[in-house]
Amino acid sequence: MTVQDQTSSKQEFSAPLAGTPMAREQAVKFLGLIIFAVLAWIAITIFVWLGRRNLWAVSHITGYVLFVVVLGLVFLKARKRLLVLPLGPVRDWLLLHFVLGALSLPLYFQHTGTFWPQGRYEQFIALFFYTASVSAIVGIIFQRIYPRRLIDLGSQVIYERIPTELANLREEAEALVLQAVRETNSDTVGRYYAESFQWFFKKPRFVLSHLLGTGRSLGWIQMRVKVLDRFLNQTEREYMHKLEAIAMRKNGLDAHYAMQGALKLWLFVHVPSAILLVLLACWHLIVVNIYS
Amino acid sequence: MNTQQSLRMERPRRWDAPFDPAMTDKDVDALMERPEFAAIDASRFPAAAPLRGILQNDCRIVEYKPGDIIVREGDYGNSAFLILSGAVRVVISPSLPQQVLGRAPEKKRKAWSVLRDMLTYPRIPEVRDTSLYGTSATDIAHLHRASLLDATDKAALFGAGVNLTADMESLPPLVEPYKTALLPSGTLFGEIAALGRVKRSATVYAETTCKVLELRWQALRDIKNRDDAWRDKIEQVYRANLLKTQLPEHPLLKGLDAETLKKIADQTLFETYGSFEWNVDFKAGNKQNRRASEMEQQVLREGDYPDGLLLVIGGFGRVTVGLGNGDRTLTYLREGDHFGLDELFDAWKSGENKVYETSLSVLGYLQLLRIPYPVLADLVFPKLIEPAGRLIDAAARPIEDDAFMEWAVDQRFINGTKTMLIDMEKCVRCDDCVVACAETHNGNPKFIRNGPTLDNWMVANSCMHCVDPVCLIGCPTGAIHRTLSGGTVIINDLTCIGCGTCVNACPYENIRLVPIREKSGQQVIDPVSHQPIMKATKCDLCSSLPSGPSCENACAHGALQRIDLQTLIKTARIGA
Repeated sequence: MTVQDQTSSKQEFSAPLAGTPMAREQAVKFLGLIIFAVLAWIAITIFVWLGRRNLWAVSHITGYVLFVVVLGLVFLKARKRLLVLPLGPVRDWLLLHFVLGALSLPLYFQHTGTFWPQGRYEQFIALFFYTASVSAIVGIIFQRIYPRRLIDLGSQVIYERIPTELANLREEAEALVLQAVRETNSDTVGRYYAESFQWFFKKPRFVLSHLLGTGRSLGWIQMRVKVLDRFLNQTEREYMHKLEAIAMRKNGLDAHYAMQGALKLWLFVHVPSAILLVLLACWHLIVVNIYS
Repeated sequence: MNTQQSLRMERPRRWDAPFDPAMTDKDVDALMERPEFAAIDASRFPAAAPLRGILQNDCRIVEYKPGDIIVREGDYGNSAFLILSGAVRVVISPSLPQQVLGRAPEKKRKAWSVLRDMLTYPRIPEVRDTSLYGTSATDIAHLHRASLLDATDKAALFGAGVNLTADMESLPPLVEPYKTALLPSGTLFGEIAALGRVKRSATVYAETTCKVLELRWQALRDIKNRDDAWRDKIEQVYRANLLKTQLPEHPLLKGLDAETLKKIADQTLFETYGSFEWNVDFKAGNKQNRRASEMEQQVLREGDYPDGLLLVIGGFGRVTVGLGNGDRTLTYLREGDHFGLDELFDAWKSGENKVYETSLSVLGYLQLLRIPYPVLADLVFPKLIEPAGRLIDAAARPIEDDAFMEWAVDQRFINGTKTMLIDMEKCVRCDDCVVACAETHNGNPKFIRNGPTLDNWMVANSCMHCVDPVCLIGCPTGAIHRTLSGGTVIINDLTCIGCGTCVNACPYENIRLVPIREKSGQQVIDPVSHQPIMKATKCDLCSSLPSGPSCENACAHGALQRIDLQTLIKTARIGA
């Protein structure tokens, strides 16, 4: 009879982690897809080279391949809506989306042979293709950088609740200032609040600074407090410190607003341009087939 | 949406949907004459829930044919059973094969039906078809019951050449190796699962045609709360059955023969610490911002002398070792774990006195079997292979490595079997999980993507489908219950009366009360109180969907997982 090895199973808690089982599985799948994409692209490149030597209809073939790739990219959105169908989890489709997206760039250049086409209609296609591609790269950067920075802010808030939270902080700040004025019999803090912090509490501020991570807002808050300090007595100074604490909380909320907003809004560029690209490409396909 | 108009509907009450509408006054009269009920002082029951009312509405009389399985080992159950007539047998060991137990697969909706609903769900929140309310009583006459007579290999159960007919009066006994015991008329069984919120510990079947009174656990609770004799009897049976069923199943003792186990059982003590209704103190303590360790009852301390091996058979315990001015959690214990083995085995080997190297406290409630040291020395240790490592070795880990476990244990997330864990470092706040949940639930999401966090880990406000679902405590109708297999905790909207008991009971605030509306958008109002009719709602793990939890499937970045806490602790660590 062996004893249940409880101790050693619990010691697994301390084992260094290379990643969760799901993360490892996703990494393997991603690698597999990349290898497949690279091989596919090599095959296409060889085909294009051979085709040009033998005067095949290379641009037709590369065009169809590119169209299928673009349709594959768009299917991610459909997959998210058709969750009940047993087509694999969405995270696998996102991996495919990344790989197809990366593949579409060299395919595009192989198909068009140029950075900027001459035809007006093709220029629109190019415009939406580049918009979708660039916005995708920007989106990937946002998704890699901002989640960690949001965690480091120390508290979580749902994006749609930010306006309510902001309003609450504004009310709290104003109530504090009024209390300061009443208690100290001096309007110094109140007057200064109207000149400086009222602007700050009105709505989210320093959005670009939060997106770029420059910390400008912190400097602004600290400077505003420092500027007034020489005119305050001890009681007023304590109120200013409390106001500063509220301003710091508001600053965190602004950072959430900026970064969570960016995480949502990049899709408003990416998705419409992708849809327009598909629509224009469909018409392009029809026209090419009619006139070829 | 016209909110001026509203639909009038009487507020649902506890017995709007009786357990069996076919229970008549005559049936109740017959039950009241039985010695089990005749001895009860009916005047101790409140007017709102009289004894007769409990028997008529929370009980049902079920007739079983020879071979019918009454309860299956491993199922979750919300009922206890009182044998009225006939012979019933319990299978002691070994367990019957899965095929014999005839588990019906959980019914899943067809994919096309789910797709259709996803495309056509109402844009008004919390719409209900109120015409369905009050029609939900189960038609027990048409319930399919598994039977031993359905087994494909009957010879393995009854022996070769045994004549089995559908109209036989008595089932032949099961052959070796199966051991069974007869439960005579008047026996109460199934109370452990019903009251303890745990799986059925044994299979029980009808040997002859028999009549059984099935009591919903609410009935059992109400009767035992009002009658001392029932309370004492239930607790006595509860303890005795736990000892009989849990001891042989404990991983540490599984290899021992029946005779040795009996000797051990005869001297083993059953102990309970904490409270079955720990959620009340837990929530109160959180409101007062008390530290988790302050709310935990101490079972024993580092430095105490051990006098017996503790086997955990229910609840959770925290194992700690002193560190600075606090106590560091080394691990937590749950059913199947043990405590004190290292020290006791050392003492047996060396012949010297040893003290506990760690402390044990209660997380909520803790049920233990204590095997005294002399019994261990005589019957267990001579056959034991020396443990490979020691529990105290875990104290050598860096403190930071255990931060997640400390936090999860403090928050009592150890209770969860399908905790919604979000890695906020991967989460891009797209809310696709919430959208997916809403689309598969008529436009009503069942969770909030927010909750307690530790660094990059968030446990979102979504039902965790706990090992110990305290939300079941107090539900007057049994609307919130566990599915028979799998143990998913779900709410039957048709029988929920919106009392809010489960909402208040949930220690994690994962259940919500929502006002309901008719299809036209009219709010449904109680004409007496003029208050909106409320229903409890929470995550159901998409148990009726073929694809499983939509939230997990929808997360494109692999940030959201529905996982058991054991995996949670093993894979989670705070970010570098």
